[in-house]
Amino acid sequence: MGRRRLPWLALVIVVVAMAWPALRRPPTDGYPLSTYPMFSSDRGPWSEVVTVVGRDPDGAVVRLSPRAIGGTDEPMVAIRTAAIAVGGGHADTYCDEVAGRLGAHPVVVELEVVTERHHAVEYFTAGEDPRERRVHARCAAGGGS
Amino acid sequence: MTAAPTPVAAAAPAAAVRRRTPGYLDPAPPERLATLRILVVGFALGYLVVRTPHLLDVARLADVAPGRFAPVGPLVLLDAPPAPVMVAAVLAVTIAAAAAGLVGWRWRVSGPVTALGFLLLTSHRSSWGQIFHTENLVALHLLVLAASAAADARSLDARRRARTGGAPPVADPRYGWPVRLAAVVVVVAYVLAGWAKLRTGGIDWVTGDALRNHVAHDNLRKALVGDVWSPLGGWAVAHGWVFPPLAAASLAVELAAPVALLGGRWRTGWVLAAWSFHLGVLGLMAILFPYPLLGVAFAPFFALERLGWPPWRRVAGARVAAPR
Repeated sequence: MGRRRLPWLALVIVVVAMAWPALRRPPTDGYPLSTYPMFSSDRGPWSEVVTVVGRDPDGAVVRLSPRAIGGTDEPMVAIRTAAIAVGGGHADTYCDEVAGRLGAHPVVVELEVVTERHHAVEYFTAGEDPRERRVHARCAAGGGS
Repeated sequence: MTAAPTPVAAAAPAAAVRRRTPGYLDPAPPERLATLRILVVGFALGYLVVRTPHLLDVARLADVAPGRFAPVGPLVLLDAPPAPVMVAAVLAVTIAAAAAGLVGWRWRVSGPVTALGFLLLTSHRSSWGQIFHTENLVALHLLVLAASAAADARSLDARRRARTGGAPPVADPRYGWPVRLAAVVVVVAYVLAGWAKLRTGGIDWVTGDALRNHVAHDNLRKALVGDVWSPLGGWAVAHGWVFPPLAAASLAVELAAPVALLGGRWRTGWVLAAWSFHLGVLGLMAILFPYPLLGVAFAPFFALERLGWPPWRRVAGARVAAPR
């Protein structure tokens, strides 16, 4: 192949490959070829988030860490992990899994796998209490239910 | 006898070359491509070292939650997650290859191994239900560099060639087009991100509450799992009027990315705007895009040979068809 053709061929291949996920119907996100869908849809003001919270001896909510909830320091992995566990009907075993990762905690005595429904804007402007709250599982902190 | 060109006569064509938009196949000095190698591979090496604990955490998900494995990229060929020890081995090999690639040692091997290893590791990171979009450009740039003569200068390979009597490389299109291709990769990525917003939300994405809701939603999710969230974003969502201008500016930056290929003030203006855009994302959502924020993503738009090597020494000359 000529010295001048190769660069142009490389250019065409790269551009077509990068655009391909967006040209598919429906567009399909992937890696490293992506549709770059971050923040593109209007998801509305309501957020329903599955997470795990701790309870102190007085019953007050204690927020845990992404590492305790999902096993890594990535918050999005934590959220997906909790959602997949609840969606798959494994909330009880997942609760024990989180308790095992959390280990002994100076304040937390109990864990709850919960779905919290918030108005995302009002959370920051009017208060942090969820509008709805569903508890999927409870277990003792420190490793067992 | 031919008269030597006067300085004025010699300067005029050079100025004309520098003024026009840089062409895809313009010759470039080998130092330009080599410096891009140093920047991109250096970033990848730093990323892998800093993120080693995180990448090993992700690897351990294979033991505790193998059912959550949702492979992307080249890992779609796998039926089950790779064993943690396998991921650790790939990580170690990739870090070693990146260190070799950084100094330009055996680039024909170290370059492809770095690119492939980085692609596998970051694909694995995105294979647990959440695709991350912070490493795409690094992975693609490494692939472009791996297929190029990126260690013909500023490298141990070049030193070895010089010691054995090899002629020093001169300006050539093969040192220019891979850099331009890396710039095109950046442009296409930003345009796709802008296009995704228009395709999904239309002009309502600018005039409505889409961006405000995203800032609120993203910070809320982080707060609910005990992660760092942005107080600035929390404050901003109380002021809805802030977001339509921000949304318009974000969309304009993404869709206007091709102007960066024009060089000169267009390029510099766009790079500053894109960098500010990522600074805004960091400020409002606590989302760090280190590759563009450190400027490495935008390096292919510039005449990198001027940085000099070692970095504390500026190099004179080597200005063939430099992007303005």
